[in-house]
Amino acid sequence: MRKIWQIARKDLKLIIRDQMALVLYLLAPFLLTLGMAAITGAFSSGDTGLSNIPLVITNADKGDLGIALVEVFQSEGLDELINSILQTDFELARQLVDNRSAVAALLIPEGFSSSVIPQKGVSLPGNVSQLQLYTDGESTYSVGIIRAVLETFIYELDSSAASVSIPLDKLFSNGLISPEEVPVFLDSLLPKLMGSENGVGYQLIVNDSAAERQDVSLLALIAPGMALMFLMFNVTSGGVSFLLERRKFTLQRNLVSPTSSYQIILGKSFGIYLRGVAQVLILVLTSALLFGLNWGNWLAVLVLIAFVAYGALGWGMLLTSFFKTPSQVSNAGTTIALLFGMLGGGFLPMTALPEWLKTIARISPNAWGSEGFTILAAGGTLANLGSILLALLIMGTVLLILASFFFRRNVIQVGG
Amino acid sequence: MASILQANNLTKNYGDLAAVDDVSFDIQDGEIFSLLGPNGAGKTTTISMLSTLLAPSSGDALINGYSILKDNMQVRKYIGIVPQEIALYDDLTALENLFYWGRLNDLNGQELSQRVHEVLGIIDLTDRARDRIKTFSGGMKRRINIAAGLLHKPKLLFMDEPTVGIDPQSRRMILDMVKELNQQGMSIFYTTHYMEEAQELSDRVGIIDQGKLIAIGTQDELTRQVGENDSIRIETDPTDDLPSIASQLEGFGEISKVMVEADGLTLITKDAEHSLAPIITQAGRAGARIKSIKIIEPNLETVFLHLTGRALRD
Repeated sequence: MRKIWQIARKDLKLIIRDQMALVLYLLAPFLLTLGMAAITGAFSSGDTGLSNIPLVITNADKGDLGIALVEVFQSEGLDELINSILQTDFELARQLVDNRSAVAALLIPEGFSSSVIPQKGVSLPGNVSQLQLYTDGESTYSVGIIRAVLETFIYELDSSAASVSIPLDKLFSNGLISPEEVPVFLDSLLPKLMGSENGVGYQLIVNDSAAERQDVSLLALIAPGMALMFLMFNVTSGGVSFLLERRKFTLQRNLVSPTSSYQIILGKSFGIYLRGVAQVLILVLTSALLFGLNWGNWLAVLVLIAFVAYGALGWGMLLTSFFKTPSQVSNAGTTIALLFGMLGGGFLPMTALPEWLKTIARISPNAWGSEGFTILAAGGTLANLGSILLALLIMGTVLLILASFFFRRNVIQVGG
Repeated sequence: MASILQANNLTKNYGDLAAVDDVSFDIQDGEIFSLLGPNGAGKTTTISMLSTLLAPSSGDALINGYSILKDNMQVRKYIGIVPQEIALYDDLTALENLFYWGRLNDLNGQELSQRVHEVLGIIDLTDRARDRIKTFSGGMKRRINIAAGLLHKPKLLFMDEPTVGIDPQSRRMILDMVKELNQQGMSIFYTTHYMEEAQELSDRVGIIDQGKLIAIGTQDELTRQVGENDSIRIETDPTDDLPSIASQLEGFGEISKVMVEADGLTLITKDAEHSLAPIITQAGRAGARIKSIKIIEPNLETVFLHLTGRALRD
């Protein structure tokens, strides 16, 4: 074990001293994620590139705010982006999401308007009725857009521009208050609307998970796919370093010391693994600190990173064990990283893929990792990751065993 | 004296090519043994097999009584290797490299630290210990390359052409270091294609060509194989038709062999001193425009020439 650690530590030292490699491994994925976030609208209201996002709305409210919210989703500006249909039964609306006919179902609960706008002779209730958004848990980009629209509506409702002017218009037109009563009315209404506990909000329900999520942005949706794609680049380039060691004869020098080939393979693998974990972790931490992204339960995020890096390591080492030159591994690694990145949500939402491709995507750690990060971002915990972690564990172990076999056959036996 | 190494019928095939062909020899404890041969003769492949890096196609070797096939982890405890290439990590310092290689060779703690500083002293690079290898000259890298093989005080040190491509001063230092290590009791297996190095260092020499060990013995034993023959080296005008001249000298007088080289001919003949005049006359008749003539006493180069018909540097 001590020698395995020595080999891994040496590799980490070499990486830290290679400034270009550090930029490639750590800074590039972060910058690319920011770039992708900007392109997909995380920092602006520009075109997202998506259209006809299927949304089912159940308006049980019948009040003005409920109608206004429906009209927002069906407005001219959004009609090409969001294809909303009405469904009176929310259970049926949920079923449409479950059978993938829609990406989300929105419930405007009964009494929503009246919990915000005072009615004649009725005082406002203590709590505002909460909207409910039920999502499929997979269509992260599409759901992100729906949520952005919903949150904008809620924000305007919460702000003085909407939450006060709409009720005031209503109150004036209905003759419920006189202009002299406005200051008194505002004093009583504003704390109710602006307070964090009682303000307008919505409950997010992700498929079979009842967990609630408070903060999602498109950047948060893009970052995992990007991080995982760069993780694949990282592990394959780690494989390249293995072959470079052979070319520079340091591998041979390792092999003629009283150190078994398994210790050397494990030591090299461990170094590459730690590098991969560090890369994803730094990306996660910096995006959380700089942009306030909510990745979810931190313990679960750490465990998921550890497992997904293990799965990726298996692929990286297997590739290295097959090829004999660094350029071969580099070319194959780039191809695999891009392919897995595409299959695992690095460029497009996985929901955009046909079913057969989604099945194939399961061979990549990216697909499993993306799914895990989505669950955690939606409020899931470690308990929700069981099957994902198991899949990544099996993937990594099987691939590393195969890699070890091919390594000993193809890489360790070197000519003099 | 006991054998530290016994190689028995070592063979390494790459397809139809036998890189090492049925090679057998032994090295006595405390001996410097040189394997002399031109580039591509099979020296590095032989070292690779003996150091357990490469599995032989057939044959085996015992090092300190352990088989390279069956007990390779035991073998590795007793050997050190100085590869022909600079097998060091450029971005680590000399000190970090040595500590790393020491730990891989089972040294730790105080012992490791002590040995690292000892070998840095031996190679005279203590003052550069904290500099990265990539800032070193070729000769300094070679010295660190050697130091990394010495850390664990191996009983048998394999040195694969350790002086290739370095300046004369570093070369001198390395040759002196080899002798010093040997005087301290280390057995050394040294490969080279420089005859002078083999002559200066070796207790015994093996000559390898095209994968076959064609001669083995002390220098006296090997030169006796040439018998009373001498070599005459004739440098000619570059435009001379050397193959034609060679064919006319073949069999003339006491000449037993004629080798055509890039800038002249080398002849093997008996009693060069008395044969010289008629040979010059005959060469002139054959069209040679002689620029210089040199009589070479029997040495390892002559032996190689005698055995293979080719010069060592070919």
